[in-house]
Amino acid sequence: MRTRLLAAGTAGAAGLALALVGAAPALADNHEAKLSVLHGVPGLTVDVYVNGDLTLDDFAPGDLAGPLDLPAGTYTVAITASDAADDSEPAIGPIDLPLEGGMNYTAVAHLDADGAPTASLFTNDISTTAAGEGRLTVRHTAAAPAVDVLAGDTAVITNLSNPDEEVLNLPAGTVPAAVAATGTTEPVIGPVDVAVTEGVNTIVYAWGSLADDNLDVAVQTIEGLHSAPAGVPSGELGLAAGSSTGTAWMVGAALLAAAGGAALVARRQTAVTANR
Amino acid sequence: MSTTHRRRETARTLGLALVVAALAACGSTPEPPVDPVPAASSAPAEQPAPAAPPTPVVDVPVRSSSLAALEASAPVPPVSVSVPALGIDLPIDPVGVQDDGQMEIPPLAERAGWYRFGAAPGQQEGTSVIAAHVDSVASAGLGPFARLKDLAQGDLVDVTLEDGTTHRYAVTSVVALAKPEVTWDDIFTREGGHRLTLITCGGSFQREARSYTDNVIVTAEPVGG
Repeated sequence: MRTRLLAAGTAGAAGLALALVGAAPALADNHEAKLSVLHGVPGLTVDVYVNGDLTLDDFAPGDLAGPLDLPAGTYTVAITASDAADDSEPAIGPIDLPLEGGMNYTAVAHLDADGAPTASLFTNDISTTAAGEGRLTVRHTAAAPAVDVLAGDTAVITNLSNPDEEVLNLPAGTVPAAVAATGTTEPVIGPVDVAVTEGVNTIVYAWGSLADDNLDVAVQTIEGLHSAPAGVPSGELGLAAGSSTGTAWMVGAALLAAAGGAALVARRQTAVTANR
Repeated sequence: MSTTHRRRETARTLGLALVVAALAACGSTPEPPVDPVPAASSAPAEQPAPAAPPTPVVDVPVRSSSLAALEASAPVPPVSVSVPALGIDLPIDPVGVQDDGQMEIPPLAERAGWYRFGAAPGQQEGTSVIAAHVDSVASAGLGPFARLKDLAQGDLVDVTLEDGTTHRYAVTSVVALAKPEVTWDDIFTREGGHRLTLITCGGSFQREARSYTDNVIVTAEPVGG
């Protein structure tokens, strides 16, 4: 069986650009790579062989294995029926996974757009996230045409095809996400609430088959990408200044200057409270 | 962990170790891997297993990838902070990040903000950061944290959580640092031993920027368990 191996999940332009810009790994040892494996082929329990050795036994659809810390190098992966005695007759593969040190990968066994089993290697974006933000990666690994991802009524990702990905950096929060055929708003998956956690790359896979009516969502998270706020601006008037003169004047001026901002401040306070 | 997914019997957590013998025993070719994997720890593989299906050479942790299986581990937020020695007792709001990338601070100097993306008081790891305005427009005057600089080593700080539990800390340092000198990555760290950091402003006031030159930073460590 022919299989396809993707260097980095040929992403939509924005996603790929982000992935490349953020390629410098924040946390990883440069001699090791992290590899996770996702099973996204419905109805097929499998065994996974790495370099000829049985590595995952009775790996079921929807299961996520890893991450494994592996020395950088190229690994040959073959996926067989779960009762196979060895990897001589793989159902998928063998495929070669070139893993670079310091990088983080997910190998996904899934269906291609036409429903044939295949495998893709995705490079996970483990660059640092801005304070207060999380990362949402969406990967199309389902037997389905191109899709849009909707957050509420808004398409936040358009025309995503199997096996592409899109990477979004978003304020931490919950995204009510749905997947629809591109250009439409009738969900084929969801809506589901996806938590975009601060400092975490939340990777969402659409998998299964539209024709077989078993589309589903798989989720993988990579934590520890957070960064610190840029400062703590915790004073506005100068009343606590070590030595200052004319503070009364300053307070008056500051209050006047800020009068217009007071309503804004009050709204922010409300928003903070609402987030609790 | 509020998951309902069945845990597979194969929840394994070993490192990568090649046990070629296990494969040899069941009839597969006992040759070494084409591309040898340097084993992190080579488990002894001496006794040949009886004829059986092949067994994995490594134990890999496996979990469900379903959305429902995702752990939602929201910590219990703090609701108040008190410093008996200074007569300080402030309610706390969970806060995040302003548009400019700085920590959000409650407008009223009589309220403190807890950085909700970092550690919560009482956790095992990382620093809990609680900050309040030294003075603010909304309060039209000084706030209680103006007295933070008067804290001494050993002074106690109590933080009460939403569930009613109180966590006690003892002050280990009080410093005023010029803002550009502060390494915020260290202050907001989510690793290492747990501690509490209280922050406000100090130093002199720059009228043009409407900003103080310094941050007053109080570090405290848990008392007792």
